[in-house]
Amino acid sequence: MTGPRPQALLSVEELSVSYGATEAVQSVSLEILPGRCLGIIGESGAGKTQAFLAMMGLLPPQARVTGRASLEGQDLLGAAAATIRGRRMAMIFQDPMTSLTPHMRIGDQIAEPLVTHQGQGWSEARRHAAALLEQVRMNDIPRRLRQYPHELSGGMRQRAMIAMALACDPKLLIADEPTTALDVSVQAQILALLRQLVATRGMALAVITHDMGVIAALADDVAVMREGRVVERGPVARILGAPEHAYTQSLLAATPRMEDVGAGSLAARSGCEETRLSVRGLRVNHSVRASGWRKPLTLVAVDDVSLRLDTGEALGIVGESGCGKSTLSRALLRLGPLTTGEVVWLGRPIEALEGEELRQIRAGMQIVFQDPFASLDPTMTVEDIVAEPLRALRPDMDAAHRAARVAAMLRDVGLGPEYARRRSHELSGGQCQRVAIARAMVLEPKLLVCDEAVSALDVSIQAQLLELFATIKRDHGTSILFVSHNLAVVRRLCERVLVMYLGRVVEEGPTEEVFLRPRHPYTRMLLEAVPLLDPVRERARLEAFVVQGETPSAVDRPPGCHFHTRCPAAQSACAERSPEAEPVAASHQVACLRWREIAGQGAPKIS
Amino acid sequence: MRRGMNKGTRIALVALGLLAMLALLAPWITPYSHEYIDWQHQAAPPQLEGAHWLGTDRLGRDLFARSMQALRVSLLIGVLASLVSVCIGVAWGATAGYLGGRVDAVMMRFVDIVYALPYIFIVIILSTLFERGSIAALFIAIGAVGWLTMARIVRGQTLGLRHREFVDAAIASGVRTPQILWRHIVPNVAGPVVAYATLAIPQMILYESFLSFLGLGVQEPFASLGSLINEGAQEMESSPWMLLVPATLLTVLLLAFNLLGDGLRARAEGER
Repeated sequence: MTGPRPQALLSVEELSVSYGATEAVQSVSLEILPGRCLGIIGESGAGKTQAFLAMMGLLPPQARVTGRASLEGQDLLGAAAATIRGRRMAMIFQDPMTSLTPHMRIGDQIAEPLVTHQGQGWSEARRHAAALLEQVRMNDIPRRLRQYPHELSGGMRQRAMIAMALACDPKLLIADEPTTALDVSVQAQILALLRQLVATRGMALAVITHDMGVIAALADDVAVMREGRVVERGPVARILGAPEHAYTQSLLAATPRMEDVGAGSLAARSGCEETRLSVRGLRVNHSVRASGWRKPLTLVAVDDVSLRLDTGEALGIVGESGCGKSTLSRALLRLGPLTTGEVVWLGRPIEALEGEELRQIRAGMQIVFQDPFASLDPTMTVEDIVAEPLRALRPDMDAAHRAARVAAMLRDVGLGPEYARRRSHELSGGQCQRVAIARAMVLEPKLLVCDEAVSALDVSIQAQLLELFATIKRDHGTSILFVSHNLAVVRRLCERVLVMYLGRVVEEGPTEEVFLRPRHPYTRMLLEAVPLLDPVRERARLEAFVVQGETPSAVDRPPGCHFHTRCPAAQSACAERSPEAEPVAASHQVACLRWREIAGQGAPKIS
Repeated sequence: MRRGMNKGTRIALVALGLLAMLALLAPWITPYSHEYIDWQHQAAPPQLEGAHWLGTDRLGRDLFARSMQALRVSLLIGVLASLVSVCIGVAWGATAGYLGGRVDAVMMRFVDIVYALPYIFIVIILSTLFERGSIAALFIAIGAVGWLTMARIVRGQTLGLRHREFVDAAIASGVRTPQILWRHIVPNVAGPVVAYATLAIPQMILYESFLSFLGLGVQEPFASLGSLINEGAQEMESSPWMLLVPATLLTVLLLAFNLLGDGLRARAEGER
């Protein structure tokens, strides 16, 4: 390289953090140049957050920190560091709800540090707060300033957090998993915002993430962390394009990509086909208590949904949070409420079954939930958990047979006999999820519902579990209903996909057909919102990303086509008429008034 | 996993252990029974070298022997009544919280109504229904009132557990409702229940002492700490030890149970 090397803004040398004998961070060295973005990537437990909490002075008192860290040459770990931290560094976290004080209005919350740290008057600080919200492109600012955190959506809360972090004009912004809790369309908006802030303010950014897509979108330089150590460092193009360390290579290989040729490799139909589950006109209404004495509101969670699932088939249900995909999957398992509609399971309507009859059919349909820890009873051992369905529904089986069956099942999901006596707190997230899968599969069900079953897990574990699901499908002919917000994962496993928006199915068809030739503008938006692992294309994508706003509340759905408020192709008719599902091709349906007109516009990026 | 106990909890455990051992071993420590009347020493003051370490009462019965017998009664009633209240309260609260809806509303309104009645009044009525002075009647009566708070606590905990995914997974696995309550809900509320039950024991002991003080509880020749305090209070000016001995025992006992209960509660809350 030519020219003098610029002075590093943040420089960290041999930073270590330990708790007793456990070393969370082991001699990490990093540097960030002014105006640059450093991405720190690693799976859970890699110590990436711990390292930055140490620099922010936010670690619990029993943590022991050694090494050196300085910002603009000033020490960050010593006693005098508190003032530097507050003024020149700011940090935003994954969950903006827990980082905002629930009882303070957004405006006051942003203004408070300006009053206390910079001695501004309250009215001046409030004007400043409004300007900051403008910078983070918040809409409807005068109203937002008076709202409380719970009144804002997830994306708006994250914007408010960023505004707070910017209040004292930091030189370095640390973003810890800033978009992990957000829907894909909102994630794209926040990533674009962070990029633009770094460019316009000349601020440096450290982004901590487990998601290669976020790295591709934001980072100039990347540090890969594993088990407390930095295993590889380099510019983003090289790390993503030609990684040297084996761990980086395995991380990249495990990350599901939309642009993969041969995606859907795990989707393979078995020969015989017969409809196992069919759902017609399913509707789920919830009654929501309104404030004061007003009448309860009706929330339409699932609105007139029909679907069909065959033997050995995997059907993906995709959509953002609040689209009703989980409610739908629970309703058709008869785990949740069901207002009207018909659910036919193996030729028999089950929507009105109760008591013993309902209990008996449960043997054929099982579910795996999102949160691996919450889905296992903390007081029970692994073998008791897996044996429970057998005890309940196979009373004919004696104890010896049951034990043998449980042991075989644990082996099938890749857990050795040494796990049988453990409890959930002694297992990792991936192991817990394997136990949950073993519990679901022990009765050899014909239908397995996976409700975001891999979403909470690290990519390498995710990839292993997807293989496991594919094996289950192939070897047992189990039908899988795979509910997920992650399109790349769905594309890898499912033959058919169903796209939902605010309770309605907007598009349905074979996965490749829908993903390569999406007809509904919402499907297009979802596809365009998936991060790419190529930094150049990813940045171009963020600049071109047009869809603004977030999914409206299901209590107050827009009339006509529910998507018209955010649709780039919407016309006045879209707000008046509700679109019916129309066939596009064999078994490909779309519910959009204008799908014929917009079909030719803007080829989606993965074709 | 196991965290150290704080000092208070440890002291409480030691004190309770000592008191329980004293109460159980008293017949072998002292030659006197609780009903033996020593005509030579009536209302004798405590003296360590003498025949009666803690003195005698007005009739000449050994105060140590009587206090230890009273301590056995108090501990027995406290523990048994607390057990009764745990059994009823856990079953009631878990059922109401798990089933929810109308069942919950009816069951918990019943609790509210019983709460609203003056509890001592109920205990008095119940203990008069049984044979006068029967210990069994006493603890059934006290436990029957004590379960109300337990039911509320367990219901609250159950509401939080009902929508946890492991409960849904159990439903999906075809587990019957009573089994779900027994295998999933009850073990998961055990922490707070044990803590609260420990805090309930001193309350039960206090109820019993209060009833005995009023003359509705344990009858002569048996004594309980409450009845001893009552007797002692009548001789307070001439022979203060008759009041001080049972009163000190009661205070130490209540304090120890309260400290232990607080320690357990802090642990149970820490786990959440």
